[in-house]
Amino acid sequence: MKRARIFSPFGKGGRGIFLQVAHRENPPAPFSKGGICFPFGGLVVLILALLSASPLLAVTGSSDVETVYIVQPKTINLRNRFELGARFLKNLNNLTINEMGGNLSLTFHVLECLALELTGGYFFLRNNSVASEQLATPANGGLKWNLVDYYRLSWLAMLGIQWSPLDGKLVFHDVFLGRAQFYLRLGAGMAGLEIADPSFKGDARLSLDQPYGFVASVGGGARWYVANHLSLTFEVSDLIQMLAVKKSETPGGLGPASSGIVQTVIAQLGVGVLF
Amino acid sequence: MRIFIAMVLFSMSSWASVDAIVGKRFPTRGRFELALFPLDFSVAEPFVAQPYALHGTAGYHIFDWFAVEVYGGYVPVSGETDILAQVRHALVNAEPQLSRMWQTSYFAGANLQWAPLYGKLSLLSLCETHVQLYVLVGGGVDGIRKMQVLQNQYAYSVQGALNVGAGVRIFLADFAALRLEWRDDFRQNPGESGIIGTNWLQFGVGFFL
Repeated sequence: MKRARIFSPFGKGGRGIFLQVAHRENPPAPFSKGGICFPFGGLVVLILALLSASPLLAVTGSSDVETVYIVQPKTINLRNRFELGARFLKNLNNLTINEMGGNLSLTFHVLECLALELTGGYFFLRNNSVASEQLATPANGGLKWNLVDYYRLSWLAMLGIQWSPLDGKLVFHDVFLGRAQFYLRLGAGMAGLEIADPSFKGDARLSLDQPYGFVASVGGGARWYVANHLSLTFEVSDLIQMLAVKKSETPGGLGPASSGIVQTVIAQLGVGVLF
Repeated sequence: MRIFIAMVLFSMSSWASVDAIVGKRFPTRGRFELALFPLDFSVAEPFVAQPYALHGTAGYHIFDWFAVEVYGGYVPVSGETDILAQVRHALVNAEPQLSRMWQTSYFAGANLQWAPLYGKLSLLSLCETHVQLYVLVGGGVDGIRKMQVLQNQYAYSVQGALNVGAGVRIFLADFAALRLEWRDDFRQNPGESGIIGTNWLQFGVGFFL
């Protein structure tokens, strides 16, 4: 005689739930209602092949046990909805500079797993790091890193695209359940720029010919919808810029020119409102 | 605690999705966990180059959402960054007057883990994985050293340290989970004012007994 084993971490009756008995060799997708949420279908075959050997698909138990999957609809549908967000920003790679700020974002969910995002931010705290200031003192030889490494952002305006390959549910202390998405993000835009030479006290800033520049970003984050209209967001993104400091822009026009790829890793924490 | 949280959430009539929970696919309550983190990366250190470390942990999950864990680790390679080498070159017969020049040699201590979030996630609707998100707080000791070029030797010290951090367990099976963790290790170095924090990004795998 066969026995059935209920397999549902978050199963609950009452909202269109249906049961489905599946063979262990062919478990149904847990969120199959929306189909495969992958806008670039060509790679699915490759991913399927890789996952076929994954222990994630393994189901334990003796051969006479069948698994009963409970398939639930998503708790919140995102497609064709807007989300307005506000976030706190802090740079993580604070070797030469410290930055804190905030941004506002408007996200349009094109698909359940794909969204476009427009963000605008302002860094209200910008200064050189303690290590930068210590390094520049005469007691330590008055040295500094290349001036290009002291570039810091004053404002930020970006357009991005988010893809959420991981989608599911998070439960808080076994009592509160919400939809969660883990997403990857690509973006591009413009950023305001400034430099304060650490050799000079008082945060004296250099006069830049072009105090703004192009910025690209890659990153990833997580969103947790704790209510029908409210989400919590955490994201880490790397802002990448190709920047240069001309000799004429250095203090007195005497310093060496420098250039390079400048990366600013930003952590973001905030809330969003769906409408 | 759960009843209190449930009452608060149910009292907010506009909040939805307070669903009942049947059970977790990978419960951790009452289980021991041994973890090995072979890849620990120190992030954004200005003067100390300690590219990686490794450490191990042994923990006991008192509840699904609470665990205690002891840890110990070693930094096999450490040195000084290029900019500090330039400072030493610029100074003759003098030691740099910089903070954050002490290198971590080893670390050990104990942490408390609070894991309020458990999740079931679908990868491209193709397969599912179960995750547990946690924060940790604790303390221990750091074995540290500092190069003293004039004496051509290291100065050694052992300092108390405090930890805060956060991480995620990605369950692979009943007995194993991948772990990704960020930990900020706070201590006061000898002869320096103020507390410094060393950020570690850690990758490992845990085995449940």
